[in-house]
Amino acid sequence: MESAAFTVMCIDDNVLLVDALERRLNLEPGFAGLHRVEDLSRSVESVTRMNPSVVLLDVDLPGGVDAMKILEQIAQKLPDSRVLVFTGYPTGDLVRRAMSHGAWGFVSKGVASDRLIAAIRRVVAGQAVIELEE
Amino acid sequence: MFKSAVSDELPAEERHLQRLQRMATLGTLASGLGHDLRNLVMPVLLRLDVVAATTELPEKARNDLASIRQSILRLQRLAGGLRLLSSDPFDQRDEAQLTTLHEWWQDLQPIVVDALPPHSIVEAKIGSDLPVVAVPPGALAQILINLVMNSRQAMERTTSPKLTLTTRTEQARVMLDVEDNGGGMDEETRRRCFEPYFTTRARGYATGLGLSTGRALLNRYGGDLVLAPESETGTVFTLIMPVRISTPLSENGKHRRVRLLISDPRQLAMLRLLIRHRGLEEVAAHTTDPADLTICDVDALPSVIGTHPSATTNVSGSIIAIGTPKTDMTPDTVRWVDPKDFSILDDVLH
Repeated sequence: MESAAFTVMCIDDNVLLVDALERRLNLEPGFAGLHRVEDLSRSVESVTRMNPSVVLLDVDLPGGVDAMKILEQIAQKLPDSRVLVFTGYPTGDLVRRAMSHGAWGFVSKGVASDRLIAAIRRVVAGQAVIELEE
Repeated sequence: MFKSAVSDELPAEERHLQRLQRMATLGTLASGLGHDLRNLVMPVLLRLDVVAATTELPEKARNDLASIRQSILRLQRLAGGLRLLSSDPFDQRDEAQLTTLHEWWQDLQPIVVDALPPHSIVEAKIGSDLPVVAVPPGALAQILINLVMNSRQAMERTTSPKLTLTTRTEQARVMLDVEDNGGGMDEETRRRCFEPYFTTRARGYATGLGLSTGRALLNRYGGDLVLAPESETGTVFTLIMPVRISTPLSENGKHRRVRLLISDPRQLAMLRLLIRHRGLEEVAAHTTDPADLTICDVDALPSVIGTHPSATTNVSGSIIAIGTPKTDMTPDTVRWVDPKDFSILDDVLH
């Protein structure tokens, strides 16, 4: 299958996850690099500067960082950006809020790793995605 | 010890409040633990993928990896179960949630097993082809765990404790029978078990609210929690759950044909996801094929309602326009939807 090059930006404070995701994505055809957001308060700026193919946004960020606000700002500043929301607390309400704030997809941390990777690939391909454990 | 002595002197209402506070604290702790587990499990799964992709791995190592993956996936399920237990069952925001019982049970099964005495047998006959029920999974989990805790107490002196879960469908409802072999309840307990604050357990170990809350929760969703007639070996409670209402069209086995005339790629992708999820069929955008429903944006509306010279689409069904209503050009047959509120579309396509 033909695979266009794609990059991923992680807005996530979980270094273990981001490192592991980068290693795993290296196996994917077309994967051209992962960008990390070190300073969560400058997430929007980082996305605007790097313009990645997909932004993986963890909504369970520490220190009272409002991920929905980040999502909305990204969607406003970069209407073509594709944000995939990632959470350990998936609820119907959160899915609806994320989608209405401009997300392309929603993935629960309770899914198997292949479904997370598939979700990233589908958003790259221009599909919307909702992956919950049920 | 000191705490118990003080607690006994408190008024009954205050003791109940203390217990509820304790339960809420446990719920918060369970939720945090479940969340932390998930954050740790995903990196492990991703690393396992990387190791498994190594071509020169010996067969034995591959088998070890597969076993590790199975264990990790079970841990992930366990974390999911903790989340179900800690969600607020009366949370209005979860009203729309539906439950596929077979998958719900996969999440909850390890917690139920752990909650029972060691060597208990848990036998679940929960069909994978059951209709989806219109009760949130978190609420169902909490009702079931309350029943399991009662069964645990009842089976304390049972030689071979056994819990059986059996589902059956009846008209538009799914019944889940939860049966233990704990010897059953005495006449007074059977009569009063749904009374709030009635408990047979020691003070401090139970709120006496489990069954009454469970019944109230199921009533809220159009279901019920009932005590079945006395069985020979123990107690049977039945959770009665309404199934998801399906549209008359899908009941007839027909797929609703939907045409999408949307220029925004994200909106289009979202709608395609909804259509696929609902098992509907998408009709090619600019063809004369008939559609039961056309969803369009403001720019495409003139071509849909025929006011545009290049109108080519054949609209035989309903029309939904996404955007702000334009009264001068909109016939009454067009229903407007706020582009930010996809939940409305979800209802329409349901």
